[in-house]
Amino acid sequence: MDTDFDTLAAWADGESVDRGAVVRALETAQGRDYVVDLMALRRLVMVTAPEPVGAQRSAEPLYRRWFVLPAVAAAVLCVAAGYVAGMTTPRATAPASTVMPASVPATVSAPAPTHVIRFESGVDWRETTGGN
Amino acid sequence: MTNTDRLFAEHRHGVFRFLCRLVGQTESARDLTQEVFLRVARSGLPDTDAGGERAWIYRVARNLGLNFLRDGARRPATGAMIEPATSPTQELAVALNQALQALADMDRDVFLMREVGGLSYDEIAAACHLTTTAVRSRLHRARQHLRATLAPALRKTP
Repeated sequence: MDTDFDTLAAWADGESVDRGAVVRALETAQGRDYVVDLMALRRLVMVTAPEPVGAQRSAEPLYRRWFVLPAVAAAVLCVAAGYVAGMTTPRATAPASTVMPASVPATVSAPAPTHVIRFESGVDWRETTGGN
Repeated sequence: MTNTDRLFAEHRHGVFRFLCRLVGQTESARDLTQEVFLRVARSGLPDTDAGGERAWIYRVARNLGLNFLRDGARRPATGAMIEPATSPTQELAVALNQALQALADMDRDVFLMREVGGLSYDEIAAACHLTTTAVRSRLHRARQHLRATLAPALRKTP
């Protein structure tokens, strides 16, 4: 039986085997069970294998990622378009409302006080020495 | 594309998965995968066909993995490589890892090269310095052991 299993395993692994030996081995229930278990074992190894996501990402150079080149091209285009627009647009002049009217006098006096508060020394505060 | 780039593109996933099973730690397997291809880049390709290249890469990977385990006197952590709560098959994965660690080292490596790396019997023989007959024998023994150990798990494999 071990020989049959060995033949079936080699057949399942894609190795060259005698076709007649495979047919004979598959005629037995044990042979068929063996092949089913081989496939299940293979499947088990496959479904429980970790995905090498991190390895794949870190291994790939940044410049080879698909989105980098378009992003860089778009950024360069934006900068160039901004520069051209800045160079071709006439400079803006100051709004008319900010121009000083000619009638304003050169010296402007402060407005008169509306209320005056008076303090007297010795009444509202006391002179002391020592800086306190 | 250089030869090293091509080999990296073709074999990095297989080598990574092989090393994951061998050392039982995802992060260490990642580092070791990088180390494998660094060595490949440094030493250059042997003058051989594609099958020989693959056997050679897996020989480097196996040696690095075994060195890693031996240097730290580490045994693969059977549950460490399973990312937490990412897969409903976590229980199956732990059972498989435990069953793999119970195999003789060479039987386990031959099995992993076949099932994870997809190497042919001749390639495994070249990678492990065995005869093709010895590869068949070890593969058969490993499968019989795993089949017996994992019988319940194999019945409910998704």
